Amino acid sequence: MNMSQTIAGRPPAARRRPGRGLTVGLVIIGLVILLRAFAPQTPADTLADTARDFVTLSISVVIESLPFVFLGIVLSIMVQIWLPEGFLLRRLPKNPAARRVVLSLLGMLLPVCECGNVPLARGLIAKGLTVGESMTFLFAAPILNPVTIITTQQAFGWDSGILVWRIAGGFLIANLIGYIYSRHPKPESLLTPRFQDACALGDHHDAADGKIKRSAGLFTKETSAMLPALFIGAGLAGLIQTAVSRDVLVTLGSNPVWSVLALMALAFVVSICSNVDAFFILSFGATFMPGAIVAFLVFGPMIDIKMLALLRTTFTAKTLVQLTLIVALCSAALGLAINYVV
Amino acid sequence: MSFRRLLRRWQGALLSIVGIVATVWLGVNGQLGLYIHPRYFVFTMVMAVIAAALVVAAFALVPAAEDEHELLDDGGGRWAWLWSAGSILIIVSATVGLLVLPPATLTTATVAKRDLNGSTSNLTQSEADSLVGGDYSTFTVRDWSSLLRQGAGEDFFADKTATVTGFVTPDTSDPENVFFVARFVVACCAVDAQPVGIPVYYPGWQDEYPIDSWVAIESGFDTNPSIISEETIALVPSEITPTDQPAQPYVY
Amino acid sequence: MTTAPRVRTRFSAVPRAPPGTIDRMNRESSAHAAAPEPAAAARSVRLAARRFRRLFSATVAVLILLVAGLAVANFKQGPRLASAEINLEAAVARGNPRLLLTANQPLAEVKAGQVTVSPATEVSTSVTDRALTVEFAGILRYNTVYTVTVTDVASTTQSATSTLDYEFTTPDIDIYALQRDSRVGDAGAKRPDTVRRTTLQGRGDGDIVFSAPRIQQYVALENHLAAVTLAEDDTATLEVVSFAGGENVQVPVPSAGVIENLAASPSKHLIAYTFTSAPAAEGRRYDRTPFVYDLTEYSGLPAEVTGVDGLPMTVMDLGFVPDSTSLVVQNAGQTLFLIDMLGDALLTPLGEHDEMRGFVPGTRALVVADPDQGSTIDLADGAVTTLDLASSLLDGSAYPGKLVLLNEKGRYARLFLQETGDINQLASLIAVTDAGDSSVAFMPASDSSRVRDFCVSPNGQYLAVETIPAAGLGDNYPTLPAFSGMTTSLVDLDRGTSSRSVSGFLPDWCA
Repeated sequence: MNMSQTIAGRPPAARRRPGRGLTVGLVIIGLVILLRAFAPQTPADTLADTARDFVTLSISVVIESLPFVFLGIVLSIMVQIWLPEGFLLRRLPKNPAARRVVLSLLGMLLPVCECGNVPLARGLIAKGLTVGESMTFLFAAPILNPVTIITTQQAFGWDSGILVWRIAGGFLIANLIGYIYSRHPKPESLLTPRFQDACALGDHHDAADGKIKRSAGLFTKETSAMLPALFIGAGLAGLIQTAVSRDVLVTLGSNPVWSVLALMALAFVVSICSNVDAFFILSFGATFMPGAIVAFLVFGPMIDIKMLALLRTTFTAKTLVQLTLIVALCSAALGLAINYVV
Repeated sequence: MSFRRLLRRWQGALLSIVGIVATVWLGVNGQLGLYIHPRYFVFTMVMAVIAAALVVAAFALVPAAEDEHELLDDGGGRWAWLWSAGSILIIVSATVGLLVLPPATLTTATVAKRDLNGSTSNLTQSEADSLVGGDYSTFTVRDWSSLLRQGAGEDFFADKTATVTGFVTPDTSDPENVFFVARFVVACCAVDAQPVGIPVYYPGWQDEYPIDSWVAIESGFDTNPSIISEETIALVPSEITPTDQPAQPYVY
Repeated sequence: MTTAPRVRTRFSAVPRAPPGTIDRMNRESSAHAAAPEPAAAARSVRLAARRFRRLFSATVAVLILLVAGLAVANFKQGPRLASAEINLEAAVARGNPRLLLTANQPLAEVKAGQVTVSPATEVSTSVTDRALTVEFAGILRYNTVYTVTVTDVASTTQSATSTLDYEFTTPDIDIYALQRDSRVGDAGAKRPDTVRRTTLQGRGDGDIVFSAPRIQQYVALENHLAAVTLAEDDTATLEVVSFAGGENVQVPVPSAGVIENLAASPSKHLIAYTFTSAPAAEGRRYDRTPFVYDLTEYSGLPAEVTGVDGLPMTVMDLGFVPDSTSLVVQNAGQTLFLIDMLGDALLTPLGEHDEMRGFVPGTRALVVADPDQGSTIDLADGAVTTLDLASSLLDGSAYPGKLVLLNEKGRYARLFLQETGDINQLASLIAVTDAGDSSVAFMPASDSSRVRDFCVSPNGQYLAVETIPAAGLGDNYPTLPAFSGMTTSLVDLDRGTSSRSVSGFLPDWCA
């Protein structure tokens, strides 16, 4: 089955002239460096203090997060392209509950970013996993992920149990979802008729292209999906920190109930990659209660605007509503419980 | 149409370039300390280099635009231009913010937003106790302000000399006579920076030392001569030396 | 069969599925379906669907109840105590110690009336963000379990209130005493004098921290002990002993002579004394010249404290202001001066008074005495307040002796000598008087013993009383002579009992 022959209209010239793309790329990089070199080096007083702080805070989130985003993408590329497929799937236990547990932990061995999650989940379904089991993987993998755990630990350390409850909450919710949907009589009705995925390299290209080219392509796809959300999130963090009055933040953040709801709403809107969302929410760490932070860190990676858009290509709208409901209620319960006890 | 697809495919690479060049430039100029904790310097630079290699490989190997199999959300043809406009807006503002505007540290506006000498930024009692009897000339703004907050009385400060560097921020209770020599305390990243400061009594400081300028002070403590100020103990220096902003303006 | 059948869905390509897989699966499922009747299969699917719906609804319902319940619980719960901090050492040494209670939410204002402390102590409160600072009036007692309860604590965002409570135990304090030993040892030489250290809660006399053939007096610092020792010819040397071990340091004195009025400021590592040259000594003559020695200074030389215009001073008495680098001296003309030992050592005159009598515990108020009255001088601003003390129950019936103020509100302890049946013997009594009440706090156990001196602990809770037994023999030391068998009793002023005593005299409180 040589899929490349089925592609129509693909200019063969593009494959034989890497030099042209390379030149374009190097020229762009050169221009950018020149831009930086000729930009003023010392802060002029043209910007108001508040605006300058907004820029400084946003830039700090970007510069802090960018290396971890790149790390996540590199690991994701290595897993998707360089790891033998199906290697781990043959070793899953037979018992359904145990399978779900192992699948939740699979994210530790197959670290992929949010964008890589969905095609990987699709691939898992193709290799024989049930819909419920792939849901468990889909919801656990963004949180039970080495880069995510590292950045959460760097941002919050071990205090207030934020890291522990993020991991435990993600694990429990993913397994709960998997259990519920394993009881569905017709799992195929949960999926959309046509699988369309923005992120996967067209499968028909796989066999023909070399691994390096696929890595580069995957890099392009992942960055295009994640970096805009990162920059928007960073800008939003800076904006909230400078524009919203401190009184409002403190009033909202120190109320045990409203803080949870506010941060869950923020998590839904800000679709920042789970690898680095800890750095984003750190700016609220001083004013918001720990339960709200945990709710953000658990709800955000599972359900947000971008994730829903991605999942919509795989699951039906009704399924997504049900999933959102359960995940939201579980996150809220976890956050409120932590606020009550800690 | 193809521009839209081109943009959608390459927006990631463009944003990566902006981020990588900004990071490497800051790193080469030693200004990374303005934004992140020193423990991340090496990791950040290494990842920037690896990502740069991947970006170059992407430009070289990946075809400029893909065909119909790759479309996302194409049923929304009316709103498609909005996504493109949004992408362009993000790229332009990222370029302006990261590349055009000069690197800067946080200013007094953030001091006003956050709690100066709030409880989260100061040392705990036991940490402050372990400071006592140490080498006072190495104490930072944070050490001194923690000792002040713990309630170590005037008798403790009577024979001590503080050698500190910080930026100037006004005392809200007596802005004409008292200012704080302040620094930001950073636990992980600049985004959670909390300000700490020591009050300094120097009437008319506004004429000589603008807000947010950096000064070095070596002086002893005394009862704050200002009656309206809320601070009871302050530095009463005879001279203040303006300095440059240090490469690592935050206290960790 | 508990799991739903494996799903094979059609998408555009399945990379690894071998050809014909889909057809085979379709045949399998249709083979499955063909075996039972179509109606039964449909019914089992409907049952499964209903079970799923029930499971889903039940889960959602449980979750909603959980969330609602937790929300209500959170609304009803007030702030909780996250941490508490207090400097226990400072709480028994200095006035107005502060307890910092940090809650998990920003707090609304807390009034002093909401705070209950047991044992009862006046407090004042202040709230900043999440921290509640409780400031105790006065100094805390030693070895006491304090329980602080704050009721009706609310956060700024909710109206629910809660109670915060915290318990802490104040530490013990060291008691030093000097034992002069006139007995002759086995080798025929006089046994050495010793300085011993014990604690209030301990038993017995404690461990020896310093011993020398003849110790005149000593002062205790945080990690050191400074002592004046006498040689056979009564020449004085000043030695500093470090508790951490190491060599004893001899503080240089200008020549042979007499060292008196040894005083210390422990937190500042300073000691002060007066030096008088011996008649036969050569060089400059010193007459009760005050010196100050800084233990932390590397040069290791004591500095002479000069008087007005840099001229030498003759000093009758001196003492450090508690916890500071300032020295109060009384010169030969009975003028009191306050000297800040830092920097230029400027002198501030405090007026002429007969006698300086120490400080009111926990304050910087110096007690001075004149023939007709006593006063306190507040060293912060120099204000002189005449003492208006309540009369004691022994006022008419006994001869009044030394008076010591116990707190700023006029509570005092006074030594009285009362005539007894035997005209050669006067009974010693110490009476404690304040605005409401006057009672005898201490009487020596035996009628024939007498009280030589007494002083108050730094926190005003105990009196240390030196008693001389009737059979005591004088030791004939040139300065600060004492008697054999002297004991120091510790009187608990709250209970009026004396349950602890150590052998020796000159407790470090009296220095």
